[in-house]
Amino acid sequence: MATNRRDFLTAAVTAVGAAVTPDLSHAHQHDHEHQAVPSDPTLRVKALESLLVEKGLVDRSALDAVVEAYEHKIGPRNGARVVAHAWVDPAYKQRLLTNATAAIAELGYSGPEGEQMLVVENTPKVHNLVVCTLCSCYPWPVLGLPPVWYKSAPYRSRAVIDPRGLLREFGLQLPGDVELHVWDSTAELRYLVLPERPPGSEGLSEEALSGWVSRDSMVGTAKVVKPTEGDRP
Amino acid sequence: MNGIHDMGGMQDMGPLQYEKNEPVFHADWERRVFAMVWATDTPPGSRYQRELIPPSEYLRISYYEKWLTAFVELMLKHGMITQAELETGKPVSSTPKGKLLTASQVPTELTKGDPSVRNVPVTPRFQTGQRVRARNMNPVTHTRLPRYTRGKIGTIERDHGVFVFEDTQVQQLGEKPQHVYSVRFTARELWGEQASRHDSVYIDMWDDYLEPA
Repeated sequence: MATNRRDFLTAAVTAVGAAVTPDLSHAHQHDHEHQAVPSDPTLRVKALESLLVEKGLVDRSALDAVVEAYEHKIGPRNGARVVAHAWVDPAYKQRLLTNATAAIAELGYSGPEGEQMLVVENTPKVHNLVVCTLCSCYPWPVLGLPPVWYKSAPYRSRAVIDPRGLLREFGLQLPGDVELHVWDSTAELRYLVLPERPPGSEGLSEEALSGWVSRDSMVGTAKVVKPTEGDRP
Repeated sequence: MNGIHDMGGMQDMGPLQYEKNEPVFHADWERRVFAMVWATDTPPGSRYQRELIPPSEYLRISYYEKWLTAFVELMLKHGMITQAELETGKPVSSTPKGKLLTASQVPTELTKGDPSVRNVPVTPRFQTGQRVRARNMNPVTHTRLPRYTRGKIGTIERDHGVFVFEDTQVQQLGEKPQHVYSVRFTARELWGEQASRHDSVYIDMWDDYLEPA
Protein backbone atom coordinates (compact mmCIF):
# COMPACT_ATOMS: atom_id res chain seq x y z
CA MET A 1 0.00 0.00 0.00
CA ALA A 2 2.63 2.48 1.08
CA THR A 3 4.84 1.42 -1.82
CA ASN A 4 1.98 1.98 -4.21
CA ARG A 5 1.40 5.32 -2.67
CA ARG A 6 5.04 6.20 -3.21
CA ASP A 7 4.97 5.11 -6.85
CA PHE A 8 1.92 7.23 -7.27
CA LEU A 9 3.62 10.21 -5.70
CA THR A 10 6.68 9.79 -7.86
CA ALA A 11 4.54 9.70 -10.96
CA ALA A 12 2.38 12.56 -9.79
CA VAL A 13 5.19 14.86 -8.86
CA THR A 14 6.96 13.99 -12.09
CA ALA A 15 3.88 15.11 -13.94
CA VAL A 16 4.22 18.42 -12.19
CA GLY A 17 7.90 18.47 -13.08
CA ALA A 18 7.01 17.72 -16.69
CA ALA A 19 4.93 20.87 -16.82
CA VAL A 20 8.03 22.95 -16.27
CA THR A 21 10.29 20.78 -18.44
CA PRO A 22 8.97 20.58 -22.03
CA ASP A 23 11.42 17.89 -23.17
CA LEU A 24 10.41 15.50 -20.46
CA SER A 25 6.71 16.18 -21.07
CA HIS A 26 7.20 15.38 -24.74
CA ALA A 27 9.01 12.12 -24.04
CA HIS A 28 6.32 11.14 -21.57
CA GLN A 29 3.49 11.63 -24.09
CA HIS A 30 5.11 9.29 -26.57
CA ASP A 31 6.02 6.42 -24.36
CA HIS A 32 4.05 5.68 -21.27
CA GLU A 33 5.87 2.44 -20.63
CA HIS A 34 9.14 4.25 -20.60
CA GLN A 35 10.40 5.22 -17.17
CA ALA A 36 10.35 8.96 -17.63
CA VAL A 37 10.76 9.48 -13.90
CA PRO A 38 14.17 10.95 -13.26
CA SER A 39 15.99 9.08 -10.53
CA ASP A 40 17.31 12.45 -9.45
CA PRO A 41 14.70 14.05 -7.19
CA THR A 42 15.58 17.51 -8.49
CA LEU A 43 12.40 17.91 -10.52
CA ARG A 44 10.12 16.46 -7.89
CA VAL A 45 11.48 18.88 -5.32
CA LYS A 46 11.24 21.89 -7.64
CA ALA A 47 7.63 21.03 -8.40
CA LEU A 48 6.76 20.54 -4.77
CA GLU A 49 8.36 23.83 -3.78
CA SER A 50 6.41 25.69 -6.47
CA LEU A 51 3.17 24.11 -5.28
CA LEU A 52 3.81 25.01 -1.65
CA VAL A 53 4.75 28.57 -2.59
CA GLU A 54 1.58 28.94 -4.64
CA LYS A 55 -0.47 27.56 -1.77
CA GLY A 56 1.06 30.05 0.62
CA LEU A 57 2.63 27.34 2.78
CA VAL A 58 6.25 28.37 2.23
CA ASP A 59 8.07 31.56 1.32
CA ARG A 60 11.06 31.10 -1.01
CA SER A 61 13.18 33.75 0.67
CA ALA A 62 12.53 32.11 4.04
CA LEU A 63 13.83 28.82 2.61
CA ASP A 64 16.92 30.63 1.31
CA ALA A 65 17.54 32.08 4.77
CA VAL A 66 17.23 28.65 6.40
CA VAL A 67 19.70 27.08 3.96
CA GLU A 68 22.12 29.96 4.39
CA ALA A 69 22.05 29.60 8.17
CA TYR A 70 22.66 25.84 8.25
CA GLU A 71 25.30 25.97 5.53
CA HIS A 72 27.30 28.90 6.85
CA LYS A 73 26.43 29.82 10.43
CA ILE A 74 25.26 26.79 12.36
CA GLY A 75 27.98 24.15 12.47
CA PRO A 76 30.69 22.48 14.52
CA ARG A 77 32.66 25.72 14.92
CA ASN A 78 29.96 26.70 17.44
CA GLY A 79 30.52 23.59 19.50
CA ALA A 80 34.28 24.03 19.25
CA ARG A 81 33.95 27.48 20.81
CA VAL A 82 31.91 26.01 23.65
CA VAL A 83 34.57 23.37 24.26
CA ALA A 84 37.49 25.80 24.10
CA HIS A 85 35.72 28.16 26.50
CA ALA A 86 35.14 25.32 28.94
CA TRP A 87 38.83 24.37 28.75
CA VAL A 88 40.03 27.85 29.73
CA ASP A 89 37.28 28.81 32.19
CA PRO A 90 36.64 26.28 34.98
CA ALA A 91 33.54 28.12 36.23
CA TYR A 92 32.03 27.99 32.74
CA LYS A 93 32.88 24.31 32.46
CA GLN A 94 31.00 23.72 35.72
CA ARG A 95 27.94 25.53 34.40
CA LEU A 96 28.21 23.62 31.14
CA LEU A 97 28.19 20.27 32.93
CA THR A 98 25.33 21.19 35.27
CA ASN A 99 23.07 23.25 32.97
CA ALA A 100 24.28 22.79 29.42
CA THR A 101 21.38 24.50 27.63
CA ALA A 102 21.87 27.76 29.56
CA ALA A 103 25.67 27.63 29.39
CA ILE A 104 25.60 27.09 25.62
CA ALA A 105 23.11 29.94 25.25
CA GLU A 106 25.60 32.21 27.08
CA LEU A 107 27.77 31.95 23.97
CA GLY A 108 24.78 32.69 21.75
CA TYR A 109 23.87 29.20 20.58
CA SER A 110 20.31 27.87 20.84
CA GLY A 111 17.49 26.69 18.61
CA PRO A 112 15.91 23.61 17.05
CA GLU A 113 17.44 20.30 18.17
CA GLY A 114 19.23 22.08 20.98
CA GLU A 115 16.29 22.93 23.24
CA GLN A 116 17.43 20.53 25.98
CA MET A 117 21.18 19.96 25.94
CA LEU A 118 23.46 17.78 28.00
CA VAL A 119 27.24 17.87 27.94
CA VAL A 120 29.18 14.76 28.93
CA GLU A 121 32.85 15.01 29.82
CA ASN A 122 35.65 12.76 28.63
CA THR A 123 38.39 12.05 31.17
CA PRO A 124 41.39 9.69 31.19
CA LYS A 125 39.02 7.07 32.69
CA VAL A 126 35.74 7.74 30.83
CA HIS A 127 35.02 8.07 27.11
CA ASN A 128 31.62 9.16 25.80
CA LEU A 129 30.03 8.36 22.45
CA VAL A 130 26.75 9.75 21.07
CA VAL A 131 24.33 7.99 18.73
CA CYS A 132 20.64 7.97 17.87
CA THR A 133 19.74 4.37 17.07
CA LEU A 134 16.13 5.20 16.10
CA CYS A 135 16.69 8.26 13.99
CA SER A 136 19.34 10.92 13.46
CA CYS A 137 19.04 13.13 16.57
CA TYR A 138 21.99 15.48 16.80
CA PRO A 139 22.63 18.82 18.57
CA TRP A 140 22.16 21.20 15.62
CA PRO A 141 22.93 24.57 17.31
CA VAL A 142 26.41 23.41 18.33
CA LEU A 143 27.30 20.85 15.63
CA GLY A 144 25.11 21.77 12.66
CA LEU A 145 23.42 19.08 10.62
CA PRO A 146 24.72 15.53 11.07
CA PRO A 147 27.08 13.92 8.56
CA VAL A 148 25.83 11.01 6.46
CA TRP A 149 27.72 8.38 8.48
CA TYR A 150 26.02 9.48 11.70
CA LYS A 151 22.60 8.86 10.12
CA SER A 152 23.63 5.59 8.47
CA ALA A 153 22.66 2.04 9.35
CA PRO A 154 26.24 0.87 10.09
CA TYR A 155 26.76 3.58 12.72
CA ARG A 156 23.30 3.43 14.31
CA SER A 157 23.27 -0.36 14.56
CA ARG A 158 26.78 -0.87 15.92
CA ALA A 159 27.28 2.05 18.31
CA VAL A 160 25.39 0.28 21.09
CA ILE A 161 26.43 -3.36 20.56
CA ASP A 162 30.02 -2.96 19.32
CA PRO A 163 31.13 0.56 20.21
CA ARG A 164 34.81 -0.35 20.59
CA GLY A 165 34.92 -2.05 17.19
CA LEU A 166 33.16 0.94 15.67
CA LEU A 167 35.63 3.36 17.25
CA ARG A 168 38.51 1.30 15.85
CA GLU A 169 37.00 1.86 12.41
CA PHE A 170 37.26 5.59 13.15
CA GLY A 171 40.90 5.00 14.07
CA LEU A 172 40.34 5.32 17.80
CA GLN A 173 41.62 2.46 19.96
CA LEU A 174 40.34 2.81 23.53
CA PRO A 175 42.34 1.18 26.33
CA GLY A 176 40.42 -1.84 27.67
CA ASP A 177 39.99 -0.40 31.15
CA VAL A 178 38.57 2.95 30.04
CA GLU A 179 34.85 3.13 30.77
CA LEU A 180 32.84 3.66 27.62
CA HIS A 181 29.51 5.47 27.98
CA VAL A 182 27.28 5.34 24.91
CA TRP A 183 24.46 7.91 24.87
CA ASP A 184 21.54 6.75 22.73
CA SER A 185 19.68 10.04 22.26
CA THR A 186 16.30 8.63 21.32
CA ALA A 187 14.25 11.07 23.43
CA GLU A 188 14.29 14.89 23.48
CA LEU A 189 17.72 15.56 24.98
CA ARG A 190 20.67 16.26 22.72
CA TYR A 191 24.27 15.50 23.63
CA LEU A 192 27.63 17.18 23.17
CA VAL A 193 30.84 15.48 24.24
CA LEU A 194 33.36 17.68 26.05
CA PRO A 195 36.63 16.13 24.84
CA GLU A 196 39.84 16.09 26.84
CA ARG A 197 42.17 19.00 26.28
CA PRO A 198 45.17 17.51 24.48
CA PRO A 199 48.80 17.74 25.51
CA GLY A 200 50.73 20.35 23.57
CA SER A 201 47.88 22.87 23.73
CA GLU A 202 49.22 24.72 26.77
CA GLY A 203 49.39 28.45 26.39
CA LEU A 204 47.15 28.60 23.33
CA SER A 205 44.47 31.27 23.13
CA GLU A 206 40.83 30.24 23.36
CA GLU A 207 40.40 31.05 19.67
CA ALA A 208 43.39 28.91 18.69
CA LEU A 209 42.18 26.09 20.93
CA SER A 210 38.78 26.05 19.26
CA GLY A 211 40.58 25.47 15.96
CA TRP A 212 41.83 22.17 17.32
CA VAL A 213 38.39 20.83 18.23
CA SER A 214 36.92 18.61 15.51
CA ARG A 215 33.28 17.74 14.98
CA ASP A 216 34.03 14.08 15.54
CA SER A 217 35.64 14.75 18.92
CA MET A 218 32.36 16.30 20.07
CA VAL A 219 30.41 13.20 18.98
CA GLY A 220 32.97 10.97 20.65
CA THR A 221 34.34 9.18 17.59
CA ALA A 222 37.72 10.91 17.89
CA LYS A 223 39.98 12.59 20.38
CA VAL A 224 41.26 16.12 20.02
CA VAL A 225 44.75 16.14 18.61
CA LYS A 226 47.05 18.86 17.34
CA PRO A 227 45.87 19.67 13.80
CA THR A 228 48.20 18.87 10.95
CA GLU A 229 48.68 21.06 7.90
CA GLY A 230 45.68 20.96 5.53
CA ASP A 231 43.27 19.41 8.01
CA ARG A 232 39.83 20.89 8.23
CA PRO A 233 38.25 20.19 11.61
CA MET B 1 6.55 0.02 15.97
CA ASN B 2 9.15 -2.70 15.50
CA GLY B 3 10.35 -1.13 12.27
CA ILE B 4 13.61 -1.10 10.35
CA HIS B 5 14.41 2.31 11.87
CA ASP B 6 14.97 0.61 15.25
CA MET B 7 18.53 -0.39 14.40
CA GLY B 8 20.34 -0.57 17.71
CA GLY B 9 22.15 -3.90 18.02
CA MET B 10 21.61 -5.10 14.45
CA GLN B 11 24.65 -6.66 12.80
CA ASP B 12 26.12 -6.91 9.33
CA MET B 13 24.95 -3.49 8.16
CA GLY B 14 28.26 -3.01 6.36
CA PRO B 15 31.29 -0.83 6.94
CA LEU B 16 31.11 2.78 7.97
CA GLN B 17 31.00 5.16 4.99
CA TYR B 18 33.09 8.11 6.10
CA GLU B 19 33.43 11.11 3.83
CA LYS B 20 36.28 13.46 4.63
CA ASN B 21 35.41 17.17 4.59
CA GLU B 22 31.79 16.30 3.96
CA PRO B 23 29.61 19.18 2.69
CA VAL B 24 26.43 20.06 4.62
CA PHE B 25 24.32 19.12 1.58
CA HIS B 26 25.23 16.96 -1.39
CA ALA B 27 22.77 18.43 -3.91
CA ASP B 28 20.65 21.52 -4.26
CA TRP B 29 17.42 19.55 -3.89
CA GLU B 30 18.61 18.41 -0.45
CA ARG B 31 18.90 22.06 0.58
CA ARG B 32 15.34 22.74 -0.54
CA VAL B 33 13.89 19.61 1.12
CA PHE B 34 15.59 20.40 4.40
CA ALA B 35 14.40 24.01 4.32
CA MET B 36 10.83 23.12 3.32
CA VAL B 37 10.52 20.60 6.14
CA TRP B 38 12.08 23.11 8.53
CA ALA B 39 9.84 26.01 7.51
CA THR B 40 6.48 24.37 6.89
CA ASP B 41 3.94 24.43 9.68
CA THR B 42 3.13 20.71 9.72
CA PRO B 43 1.63 18.98 12.76
CA PRO B 44 3.99 16.76 14.83
CA GLY B 45 4.77 13.40 13.27
CA SER B 46 7.54 13.88 10.68
CA ARG B 47 9.74 11.39 12.43
CA TYR B 48 7.00 8.76 12.73
CA GLN B 49 6.15 9.29 9.07
CA ARG B 50 9.76 8.43 8.17
CA GLU B 51 9.49 5.28 10.27
CA LEU B 52 6.49 4.25 8.15
CA ILE B 53 8.55 4.08 4.96
CA PRO B 54 8.61 0.39 3.94
CA PRO B 55 11.79 -1.36 5.17
CA SER B 56 13.29 -2.12 1.75
CA GLU B 57 12.76 1.50 0.72
CA TYR B 58 14.07 2.80 4.04
CA LEU B 59 17.37 1.02 3.53
CA ARG B 60 17.66 1.89 -0.16
CA ILE B 61 16.87 5.59 -0.34
CA SER B 62 19.00 8.44 0.97
CA TYR B 63 18.37 10.44 4.10
CA TYR B 64 16.80 13.45 2.39
CA GLU B 65 14.73 11.20 0.13
CA LYS B 66 13.24 9.83 3.36
CA TRP B 67 12.56 13.39 4.46
CA LEU B 68 10.91 14.20 1.13
CA THR B 69 8.72 11.08 1.11
CA ALA B 70 7.61 11.56 4.72
CA PHE B 71 7.02 15.29 4.25
CA VAL B 72 4.67 14.74 1.32
CA GLU B 73 2.83 11.93 3.13
CA LEU B 74 2.40 14.03 6.27
CA MET B 75 0.99 16.99 4.34
CA LEU B 76 -1.41 14.71 2.47
CA LYS B 77 -2.48 13.06 5.70
CA HIS B 78 -3.35 16.41 7.26
CA GLY B 79 -4.98 17.87 4.16
CA MET B 80 -2.34 20.55 3.67
CA ILE B 81 -2.05 19.45 0.06
CA THR B 82 -4.17 17.06 -2.00
CA GLN B 83 -3.34 14.32 -4.44
CA ALA B 84 -4.95 16.35 -7.21
CA GLU B 85 -2.67 19.26 -6.44
CA LEU B 86 0.36 17.00 -6.57
CA GLU B 87 -0.77 15.63 -9.92
CA THR B 88 -1.45 18.96 -11.57
CA GLY B 89 0.95 21.20 -9.64
CA LYS B 90 -1.92 23.70 -9.33
CA PRO B 91 -3.43 24.68 -6.01
CA VAL B 92 -7.10 23.75 -5.65
CA SER B 93 -7.70 25.51 -2.38
CA SER B 94 -6.20 28.93 -1.85
CA THR B 95 -6.60 28.95 1.92
CA PRO B 96 -3.34 27.65 3.33
CA LYS B 97 -3.60 25.18 6.17
CA GLY B 98 -0.80 26.30 8.43
CA LYS B 99 1.09 29.50 9.22
CA LEU B 100 3.45 30.96 6.63
CA LEU B 101 6.97 31.56 7.91
CA THR B 102 8.42 34.71 6.36
CA ALA B 103 12.12 35.42 5.82
CA SER B 104 12.05 38.11 8.51
CA GLN B 105 10.83 35.54 11.07
CA VAL B 106 13.61 33.05 10.29
CA PRO B 107 16.35 34.55 12.52
CA THR B 108 14.09 34.33 15.59
CA GLU B 109 12.96 30.81 14.77
CA LEU B 110 16.57 29.73 14.33
CA THR B 111 17.32 30.59 17.94
CA LYS B 112 13.96 29.56 19.44
CA GLY B 113 13.29 25.92 18.69
CA ASP B 114 10.36 23.99 20.05
CA PRO B 115 11.00 22.93 23.65
CA SER B 116 9.28 19.77 24.81
CA VAL B 117 9.90 20.41 28.49
CA ARG B 118 6.66 21.19 30.34
CA ASN B 119 6.56 23.22 33.51
CA VAL B 120 3.75 21.27 35.15
CA PRO B 121 3.80 19.42 38.47
CA VAL B 122 3.98 15.67 37.85
CA THR B 123 5.11 13.24 40.53
CA PRO B 124 8.06 11.12 39.41
CA ARG B 125 7.47 7.39 39.79
CA PHE B 126 11.17 6.63 40.19
CA GLN B 127 14.13 8.00 42.13
CA THR B 128 17.78 8.41 41.19
CA GLY B 129 19.69 5.22 41.98
CA GLN B 130 16.62 3.01 41.67
CA ARG B 131 16.75 -0.21 39.64
CA VAL B 132 14.16 -0.32 36.89
CA ARG B 133 13.11 -2.60 34.09
CA ALA B 134 12.30 -1.30 30.62
CA ARG B 135 8.82 -2.63 29.93
CA ASN B 136 8.36 -5.39 27.44
CA MET B 137 5.94 -3.71 25.09
CA ASN B 138 5.49 -3.72 21.34
CA PRO B 139 3.29 -0.82 20.28
CA VAL B 140 2.48 -0.70 16.58
CA THR B 141 2.66 3.10 16.64
CA HIS B 142 5.50 5.55 17.34
CA THR B 143 7.68 4.86 20.36
CA ARG B 144 11.11 5.96 21.54
CA LEU B 145 11.71 2.75 23.46
CA PRO B 146 14.29 0.81 21.43
CA ARG B 147 13.73 -2.94 21.12
CA TYR B 148 17.17 -3.78 22.45
CA THR B 149 16.33 -2.38 25.89
CA ARG B 150 12.92 -4.03 26.40
CA GLY B 151 12.82 -6.32 29.41
CA LYS B 152 16.33 -5.24 30.46
CA ILE B 153 17.26 -3.93 33.89
CA GLY B 154 18.93 -0.57 34.33
CA THR B 155 19.54 2.14 36.92
CA ILE B 156 18.04 5.62 37.07
CA GLU B 157 21.03 7.96 36.88
CA ARG B 158 19.24 11.30 36.61
CA ASP B 159 15.77 12.81 36.45
CA HIS B 160 15.60 15.25 33.52
CA GLY B 161 12.23 16.69 34.51
CA VAL B 162 8.86 16.67 32.79
CA PHE B 163 8.57 16.28 29.00
CA VAL B 164 5.86 15.85 26.40
CA PHE B 165 5.32 12.13 25.76
CA GLU B 166 6.04 11.63 22.08
CA ASP B 167 4.20 8.30 21.85
CA THR B 168 0.83 9.95 22.48
CA GLN B 169 1.63 13.36 21.01
CA VAL B 170 2.32 11.89 17.57
CA GLN B 171 -1.03 10.09 17.59
CA GLN B 172 -2.83 13.35 18.47
CA LEU B 173 -3.71 11.79 21.83
CA GLY B 174 -2.33 14.67 23.86
CA GLU B 175 0.96 15.59 25.47
CA LYS B 176 0.64 13.36 28.57
CA PRO B 177 3.59 15.16 30.24
CA GLN B 178 5.74 12.93 32.43
CA HIS B 179 9.24 12.56 33.84
CA VAL B 180 12.12 11.50 31.61
CA TYR B 181 15.08 9.78 33.23
CA SER B 182 18.57 8.94 32.11
CA VAL B 183 18.68 5.16 32.55
CA ARG B 184 22.01 3.32 32.53
CA PHE B 185 22.16 -0.23 31.19
CA THR B 186 25.39 -2.17 31.44
CA ALA B 187 26.57 -3.55 28.12
CA ARG B 188 26.55 -7.02 29.68
CA GLU B 189 22.89 -6.69 30.68
CA LEU B 190 22.06 -5.76 27.09
CA TRP B 191 24.38 -8.07 25.14
CA GLY B 192 25.64 -10.75 27.49
CA GLU B 193 29.11 -11.84 28.48
CA GLN B 194 30.70 -10.95 25.15
CA ALA B 195 30.38 -7.26 26.03
CA SER B 196 33.04 -5.32 27.92
CA ARG B 197 32.33 -4.94 31.63
CA HIS B 198 33.50 -1.32 31.26
CA ASP B 199 30.77 -0.34 28.82
CA SER B 200 27.28 1.03 29.39
CA VAL B 201 24.49 2.53 27.34
CA TYR B 202 22.56 5.52 28.68
CA ILE B 203 19.07 6.13 27.32
CA ASP B 204 16.51 8.78 28.16
CA MET B 205 13.24 7.08 29.02
CA TRP B 206 9.79 8.35 29.79
CA ASP B 207 8.06 7.18 32.98
CA ASP B 208 5.61 5.04 30.97
CA TYR B 209 8.50 2.92 29.63
CA LEU B 210 9.61 1.77 33.07
CA GLU B 211 8.58 -0.52 35.90
CA PRO B 212 10.28 -1.23 39.24
CA ALA B 213 12.82 -4.07 39.15
